[in-house]
Amino acid sequence: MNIIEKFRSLIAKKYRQIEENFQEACAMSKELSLIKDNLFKDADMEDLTVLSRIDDETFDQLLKILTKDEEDSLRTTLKASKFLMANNIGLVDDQKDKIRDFIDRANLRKTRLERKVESSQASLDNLELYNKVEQKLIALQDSGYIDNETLNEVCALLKVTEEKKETYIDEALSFNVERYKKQSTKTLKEEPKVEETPKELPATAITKEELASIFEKHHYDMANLSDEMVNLLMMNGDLIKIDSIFTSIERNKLDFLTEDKKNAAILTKFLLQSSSELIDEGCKLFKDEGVSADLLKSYKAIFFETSDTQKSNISDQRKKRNKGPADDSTSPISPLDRLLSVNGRNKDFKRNLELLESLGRDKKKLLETQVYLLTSPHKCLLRHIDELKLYEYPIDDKAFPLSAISSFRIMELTDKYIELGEEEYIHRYASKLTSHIDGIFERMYAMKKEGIPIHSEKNPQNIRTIVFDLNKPCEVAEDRIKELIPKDSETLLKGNKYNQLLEDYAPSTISPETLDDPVIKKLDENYKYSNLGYNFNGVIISRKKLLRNYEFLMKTDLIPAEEKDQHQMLFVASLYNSWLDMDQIEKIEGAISASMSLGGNNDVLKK
Amino acid sequence: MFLKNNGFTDEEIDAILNKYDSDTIDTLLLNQDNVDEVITYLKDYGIKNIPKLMLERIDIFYFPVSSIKKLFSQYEKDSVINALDHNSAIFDEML
Repeated sequence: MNIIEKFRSLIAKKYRQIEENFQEACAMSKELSLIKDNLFKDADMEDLTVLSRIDDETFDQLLKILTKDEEDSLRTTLKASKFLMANNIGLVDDQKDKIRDFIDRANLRKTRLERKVESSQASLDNLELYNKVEQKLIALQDSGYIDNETLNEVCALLKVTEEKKETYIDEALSFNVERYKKQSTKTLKEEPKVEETPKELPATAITKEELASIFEKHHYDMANLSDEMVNLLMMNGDLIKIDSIFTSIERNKLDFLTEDKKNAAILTKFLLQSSSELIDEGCKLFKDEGVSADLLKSYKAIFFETSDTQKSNISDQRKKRNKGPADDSTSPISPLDRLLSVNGRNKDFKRNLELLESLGRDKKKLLETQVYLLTSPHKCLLRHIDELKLYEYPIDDKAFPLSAISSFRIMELTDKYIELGEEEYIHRYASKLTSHIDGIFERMYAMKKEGIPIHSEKNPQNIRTIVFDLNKPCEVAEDRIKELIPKDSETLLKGNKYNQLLEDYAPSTISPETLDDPVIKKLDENYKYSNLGYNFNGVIISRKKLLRNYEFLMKTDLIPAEEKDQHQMLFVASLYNSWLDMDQIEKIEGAISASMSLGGNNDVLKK
Repeated sequence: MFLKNNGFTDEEIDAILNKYDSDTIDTLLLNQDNVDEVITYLKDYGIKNIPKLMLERIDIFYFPVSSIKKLFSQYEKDSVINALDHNSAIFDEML
C-alpha cells in the first residue's frame, strides 16, 4: 500500500468514524433532552421536589440511564422518595442525600453528553473537507505526486501528531522519487507522443458586441438573424466592410434586404460576400439607364463577384445528369451554407449585357426584360448563341425571341423538329425551344403518322394546343403512340460506344474541314435539301446533327485511329437520337455507301 | 427545397431540377424571396398550373412582381391566363 492508498484508507476510516459518531450523537441527543427537559427545566437545582413532577414512565427511563442495574436499592429508594414527595410526606436525610446524588449524576451525564454531541457536530461540518481531500487523492492515484499542500490537509484532517506527520513526510518523499523513476523509464520506452495542442474555441474576427453595435448603427434588429448567421459573421466578417456594405445598401435603397426579416439569410450573404463597390456600381448602371430600382431585387447575383474556379466548364447535358448542388434533397449542407455557396454573376452580367447589346438589342430593354439571361453564366450564353447560329436561327433579328437562348437543348430539339419536318416552324417560333416539355415530339410524330394535322388553324404559333398540353389527352392514344414510334435505330445503337460518346459530349462544332470531306460533299450534292437537312430517299435527317457528330467521332482522341471507320462513323452520326425503322435505316445506309463509293475514303479527318 | 412550401409536389420539383442546370437552380435560390412573391401573385391572378409554367418558362419567375403586374395590365386578364396556361411561349410577345 503506497502512501496515497494509506491516506485514502485512513480518511475512509475517519469518515466512517464520523458517521458512527453522528449516529451515536443522535441517540445521545435523545438522552440529553430527556435529562434536560425533566430534571433541569427549572432554574433551582436545589429543589428536590423536581422528582415528584416527573411522570412514572419518564422516571423509569431516567433511572435506567443514571443508575446501574445492580443499584436496585438506590432505584427503590428514589422511587419511594418520589412517591412520598408527590403525597406531601416528608423525607428522611438519607432519602434527600440519594436524591441529591441522583441529580448530580444527571448533571454530570448532561455535561458529558453535551460535549460529545458538540464534537460530533464539528466532525460533521468537516465532512465536506474530507470529500475534497479524498477526490484530490483519487486524482493523484495513478500518476500524481504528494505535494506539501496535500500532505498538510491530510494530516490536519486525521489530526496526527507532529511525530507521525514527520513519518508521513518521509514516506511521501520516497513515494514521489519512485514514481518519478518509473514514469521516466516508461516515457523513454514509448513512442514519442505528439503533444496535443489544446483545443481552443476558434477565435472570432469580431465580437458579438461589435457586430451588434454595427447593426444598431444601421437600425437593423440583429435578432432577425439566426445564431448560425451571427456566428458566420463573427467568424468570417470584417467590421469595416460590414459597416460599408450596410451604408451602401442604405445609400442605394436596397430596402428589400433590410425591410423583410425573411431576407436575413440573403442579407448575411451580402454582408459576407458583397462589397460597397459592387453594390454602388450595379445600382449606378440601373440608375444611369433609367431602369426602376425595383428590378434590383431580381439582380441580386450581380452584387457578388463571379468566381472563375467555382464551377467547371462541363456541358449542360452532363451538368443536368449530375445535378450536383441543385439536388437539395440529398445535400447534407444547411440552407444557409447552400445559399452562401451560390456563385456571384457580376462579371457574367457585364459580359452578357455587352453580348446581347452586340445583337442589336436596347440596353434598357434588356435590363428590364432579360433578368434570367443577364444573370446566367456567360459561358453558357456564349455556347447557346453559338448553337443557335450553327442551326441558322436569325438571332440578329430584333424580333427573335431571346428566351430561346436560355434553352438547354437547342441542338437536340432542333434536330428533332427538323426530322419531324417542322424546321420552318421552329425557326419561326424559336421560343418553343425553351417551353419544350418531354413527350411532345412523340405526340407530334404519332399525329403525323395517323394523318392528323398538327398545326392550329386559329393560331399558327401553336402546333394545336392539345399537343402542347400534356395534361390533356392526345388525339392518338398513348398505347398507339408507343406502337407508332419506331425503335429499330435505338435498338441498333444500344450499347454502341460511339453513340455513348455522342451522348456524353454533345458535340457542337462543324469545321470547314468537315464540309470539305469528299463524302460529305457527295452527301450534300445528292441528299441535302437545305442547310439543315438531308433527305435520304424520303428519310429526313438533320444535316447539322450528322455533320457535328461525324466530325467529333472522326477527330476525337477517345477512339483509336485504327478504329475510325468512316462508314460506321457516318452511320452512327446519322442514326443518333432518331426514330427510325429498319426500312429507313437501310435507305440511310444506302445513301452513305453510295456517297463513299463516289467520294472515296478520306483520311483527312482521321487522327 | 423552398418550392415545396409553395405547394409544388416532389415530382414537379424533380422535373424542374432535371430540366435546369445547377447554375439556374443557384440563381433561383438566390432569388427565392422574389420567386415566392411571383408564385403568390400568379396564383392570385388565376394561373392554374404554376409548376408547369416554371418548367416551361423559368425566366418569368425572375421578374419582380411589379414588372409582371405592369406587363399583364396591358392585356385582357382572361387572354393572359389562357396564354400562360396553354402557350407560355407567348410571354416573349408580351415583353
